[in-house]
Amino acid sequence: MSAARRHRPPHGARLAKRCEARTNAAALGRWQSALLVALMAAVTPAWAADALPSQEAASWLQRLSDSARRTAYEGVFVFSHGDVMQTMHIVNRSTGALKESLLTSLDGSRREVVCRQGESLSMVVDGTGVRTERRPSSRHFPDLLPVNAAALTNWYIVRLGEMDRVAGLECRWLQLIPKDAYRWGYALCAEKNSHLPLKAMMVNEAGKPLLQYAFTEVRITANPRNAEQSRGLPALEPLARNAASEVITVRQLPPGYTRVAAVKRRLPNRPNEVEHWVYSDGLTHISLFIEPAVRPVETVRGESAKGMLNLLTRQVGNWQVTVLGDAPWPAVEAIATAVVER
Amino acid sequence: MLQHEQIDPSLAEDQTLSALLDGELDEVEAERVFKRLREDPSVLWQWSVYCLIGDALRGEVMVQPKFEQRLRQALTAEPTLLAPMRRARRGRGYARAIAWTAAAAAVAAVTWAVWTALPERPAALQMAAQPNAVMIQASHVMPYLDAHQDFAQGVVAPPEMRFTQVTLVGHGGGQ
Repeated sequence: MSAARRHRPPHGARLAKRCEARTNAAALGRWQSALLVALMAAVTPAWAADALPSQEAASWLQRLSDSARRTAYEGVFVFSHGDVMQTMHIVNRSTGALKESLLTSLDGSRREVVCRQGESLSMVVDGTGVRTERRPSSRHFPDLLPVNAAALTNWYIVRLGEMDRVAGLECRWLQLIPKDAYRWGYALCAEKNSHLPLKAMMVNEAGKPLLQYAFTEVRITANPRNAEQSRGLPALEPLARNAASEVITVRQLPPGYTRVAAVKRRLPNRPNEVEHWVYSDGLTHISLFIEPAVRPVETVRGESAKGMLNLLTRQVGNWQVTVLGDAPWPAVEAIATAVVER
Repeated sequence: MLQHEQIDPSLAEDQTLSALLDGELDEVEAERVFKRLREDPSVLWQWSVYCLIGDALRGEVMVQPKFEQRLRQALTAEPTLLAPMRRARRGRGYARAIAWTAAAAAVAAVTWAVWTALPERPAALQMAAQPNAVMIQASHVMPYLDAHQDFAQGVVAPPEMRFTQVTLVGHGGGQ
């Protein structure tokens, strides 16, 4: 029973340590903290000088985007968000401008995802049995940039960073720094020859990573082992009806955001069909869900670890409106508060 | 410096409490600590001190003298509200399940407290947080998160979220 302990119990000490780790990034690797410093410096006006001219920025972004779809590769990548960490095996075959990839989770429940032509089919094996899910999306690391990546230069400043080494390969950092508060920043490390992103992270306004992906090993080949072709997607009914009843409208959107999808779909635990609209600037996605308000709706704000995902539910006339996005709070708030009934 | 030659039982207890705060205990160990918290006021006291230290370290609270005493007085001064309660119809197993949910919620709340400690930018629209945080059932929001994943970076599992009831200031059309 020392006096020291009374002043600083183990929990306090541990917390203090944790706070230090959080503020000085000592827990991160050396190169990573170097990048953090670079990104933090980037928020000051100094970055303007290093920003790539927009023509050059556009061509860099396009090269990375094309490479993720057109390069054939096989590898293992790690994904981390908050306290969650996952490892996936990936095989990507190039089929012209399109791609076909097979992802297999290496930890937790067994999960296999086939992505082809803008759709994905996943098979999950867990305690309750085998489940298949079909989704109208095939976005995954390293294919994170939109097909028309050059347009991103309207909303992001692009900086060319240092050379680095990821999964044993040399790569060059490229930073996307948002020009306003309505989107997160990104940093991608593109392999020297193929420009395939080997590492990618989403960072907040302070340059701290919110979400990270990195290959731990990757083989860039002309002909990787074929992704199991038999698992290709069969011709199926469309997942959701393309429709927007326009019962509500969003008076004003944050710069760069356009509606990229409007579907009617059934969601589990929901009595009524829900209308799902998606707004995007090419990198960031914000969903808007509209459904009849069956009872008065409380205004509720939600956020995930480190604030990466933000949500706002509110009532607009007779409708319950939920805005949810992997975007900073101002973007979600701006859309949610601009919703009006027609 | 701490002396570690002899294992002091109260020190072991401190470390268990600390581990609980950090969310490092498994179900069985956590249940044991919850039992201790219910039974032993001194352990409960130690727990609240740790929570307070944690809050103070994160700069979340102004530690005020005699806070607990003043809270008790305020509670005593509160009028008692009597409301009819539905009699529990299910057996003991049900009651236990509820207790466990509450315990899990408490652990979740601790995790969130760490997250909220990060400084936030002032929002463009002023938001007045209600005194009590609303714990929305994850199952209520899960379908939205899941549907959103269709368009966001699809293949990763949706993360956990924390919810607060808010009032949109200067937004009449809302409610």
